[in-house]
Amino acid sequence: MADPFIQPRTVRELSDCILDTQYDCILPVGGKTKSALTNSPIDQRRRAMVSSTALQGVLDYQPSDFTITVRAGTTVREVQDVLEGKGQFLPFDPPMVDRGSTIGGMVATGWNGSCRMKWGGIRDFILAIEFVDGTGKVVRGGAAVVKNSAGYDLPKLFVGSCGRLGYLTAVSLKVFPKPKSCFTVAFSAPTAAAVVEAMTKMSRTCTDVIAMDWVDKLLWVRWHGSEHRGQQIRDALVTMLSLRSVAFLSGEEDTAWWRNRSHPEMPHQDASLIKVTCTRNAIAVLEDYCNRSGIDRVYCHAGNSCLLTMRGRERDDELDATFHQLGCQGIVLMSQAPCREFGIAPSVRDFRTRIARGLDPTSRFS
Amino acid sequence: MQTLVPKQVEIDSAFIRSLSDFFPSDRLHTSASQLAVFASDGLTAFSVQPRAIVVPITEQELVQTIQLCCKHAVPFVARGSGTSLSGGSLPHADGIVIALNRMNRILHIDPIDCTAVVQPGAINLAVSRAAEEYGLHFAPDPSSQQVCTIGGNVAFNAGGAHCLKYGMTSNHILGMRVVLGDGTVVVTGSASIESIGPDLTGLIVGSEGTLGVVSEITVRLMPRPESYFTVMLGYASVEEAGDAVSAIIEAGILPAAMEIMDRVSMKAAEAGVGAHYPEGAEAVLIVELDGTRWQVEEERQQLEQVLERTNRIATEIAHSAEERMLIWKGRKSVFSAVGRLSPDFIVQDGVVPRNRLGLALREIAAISQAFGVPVANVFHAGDGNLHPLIMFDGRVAGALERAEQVAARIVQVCIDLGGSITGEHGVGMEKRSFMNAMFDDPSLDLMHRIRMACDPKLIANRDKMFPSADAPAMSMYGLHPLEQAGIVSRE
Repeated sequence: MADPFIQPRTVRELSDCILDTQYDCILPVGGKTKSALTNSPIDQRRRAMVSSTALQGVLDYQPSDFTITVRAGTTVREVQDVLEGKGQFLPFDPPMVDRGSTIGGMVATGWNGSCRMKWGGIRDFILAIEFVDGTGKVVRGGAAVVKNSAGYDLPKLFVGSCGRLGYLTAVSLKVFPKPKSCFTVAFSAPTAAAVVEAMTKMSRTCTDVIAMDWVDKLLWVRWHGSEHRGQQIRDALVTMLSLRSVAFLSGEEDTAWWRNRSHPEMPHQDASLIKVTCTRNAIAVLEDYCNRSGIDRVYCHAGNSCLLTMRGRERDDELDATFHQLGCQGIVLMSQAPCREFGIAPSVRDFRTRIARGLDPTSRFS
Repeated sequence: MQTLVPKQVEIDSAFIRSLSDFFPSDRLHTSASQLAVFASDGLTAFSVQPRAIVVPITEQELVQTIQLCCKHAVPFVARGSGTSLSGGSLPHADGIVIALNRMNRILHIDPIDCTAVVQPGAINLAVSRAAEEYGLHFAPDPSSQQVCTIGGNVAFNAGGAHCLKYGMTSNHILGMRVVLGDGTVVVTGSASIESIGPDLTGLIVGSEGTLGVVSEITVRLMPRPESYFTVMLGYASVEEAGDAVSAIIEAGILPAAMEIMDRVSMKAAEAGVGAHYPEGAEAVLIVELDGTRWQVEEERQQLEQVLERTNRIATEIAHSAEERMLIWKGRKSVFSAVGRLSPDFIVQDGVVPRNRLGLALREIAAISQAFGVPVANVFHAGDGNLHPLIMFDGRVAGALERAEQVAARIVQVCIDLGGSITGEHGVGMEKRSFMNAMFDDPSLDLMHRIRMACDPKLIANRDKMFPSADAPAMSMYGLHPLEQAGIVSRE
């Protein structure tokens, strides 16, 4: 039987819902764009699926202070539209915007888009949160100013917490001026060694790369600036990396390519889309494993993360062991099955559990 | 709010003997003269003598020490160079200090992933110097970066003049090994800029040592900027300088730093380091752009267009690295130089929304006038982080108390304007009483629960950050010796 679906209209209603003892626990959901996180785990617990989508709206926007505060159920699209009006944007390039992702879901999954390289990820732009904890109380952490070091950094703690620590009701974010134009240079990087060398050279010399993704043996590098400047950079890259040929995208072509990168296809049937924390040092071994196992992948953020598409669950244990060996960690974001993680050390699980018990002593969110 | 009362213990000789099982005599100090060295940190107004000092050189020694403290419920304070400006590394009278200065190695620089793995006692600037050969650096640049440690930067989420563009320490820490308050070692994050699961690294950074002690830190290294453009502008009032900051931000320019100094601060810097400031200016605004040559050139042109529309009365551009350093030397000398104008001063570091800076400054002026206590202003204007210097003479009866009242009123102004009680110094001992004004009871209770999950006996940096027991009495001894030498400053 499907979990009951509840859509509180106020924070008070949400709090009552969290305390409602007819449910053993709560599964927070937003736009359901990261499907694995909103699929109920298979267990005997009575679970209520509680949607944030009625808790929406911009609460405060201070363009001259680079801050915006919104209800957690507000769609990222709506926030982007408001910011666009003042020439500002969310620099971490949140994925799945066109499919209805919410600000709460964005924070809870901590999934940054390709263009997070220059300025930072969600963790670097979240300033304050309001949430309902496992005891039904409304709690606030951080402050809606661009600099603050008072108290524990609860906003950062909630990034990637997957709704297991509390129910987000409002989020304050730092925003930045939006670059007026961008361009992309793409070139062949046929092997792991070649791509690591190119990524490393650029990471050590170029302060202003927005995105650097390795897709289908091509390295796509994005900057902001005029087309004229782009052509100068393209020529400099050809010399620096001894390139024979490069592709150059600007204007709508550039925008469209990166927009598509932000909206990966829902994996078919029994396949899962897995976000992996990676390093450039790990790419060669990971490539070798993926080639042997027939796993599709793209590398993002200059090799700091990877999106794998893996069929079935037969290789779960093997993937877990490989990630442990490489120091990588992974989480299933999109799948028809419930969320699962890979490469998480037992000591990390224990620490997470200790913190979760502090916030949610009666396990309302787990 | 639930008030937690930790068990009070007396350190007995058996506890000290147990410490001597782990530490040779040259790394376990109990004599009065040795303890006195650690009695204060950068906030010299507080002074408390600990019962013992231990100097671990390995993580194992650190774990053994904390486990022993946990077993006997003895409070401990971890300390690096002791440059905390909020009394964050002030010892506990019934506890010990764990001095991390000898866990100071840079364990590994990875030029491929652009990361470094360091021990907590590593000096901030030493990390950048070690990374220099790869064209990289550690971006957080607190003014004490010549002496402050990465462990201390982590504990208090240190900032610096350039955090407007590059963020604070927290934005540059990728992973850590942490010894929690019960002696358990946990690992957070990794060498990647991306992470999975709740951001436990983010929780530890800025927790002021109240959850445990960091034993190893993986930091992100950034490419060194290829080019700088630094300009100093004179204005007839602080408000007009503040308006220029708003105009720059609204034009979509993101400088690396934007700093304002008022007339009193300029006078101090002139007296201190012979810096020169524009005639007739009541405030100067320093703006620095950095990045690639083309990026700086593009932003410089934009900046010039914006500045043309402001009421500047003087423009001084740094045409060389030496001229740039001179501008920054004047700015960074203000705190030590104020010592020439006043024997004592208190610094606050509250934050207000950037668009309310003008209002905050008017409020500070009114408070200064009402109490008859002079206040100099120098601040990170780009991110609304104030640094009012409240000047007084500690030898005059009641002067310290009046200065404290002024400081309290200024912090309250920051809270009332929707800001924060601290931007980069941390709460420490100094601002604990304001936590209740910034956070409500459920929020503080929840922070207590997190603390209890990591440090069930409340021994890690006890009596800091949380509003609880009375603070030790303040007294003024003048400037910190490092401050007098111009090596550190209270910003």
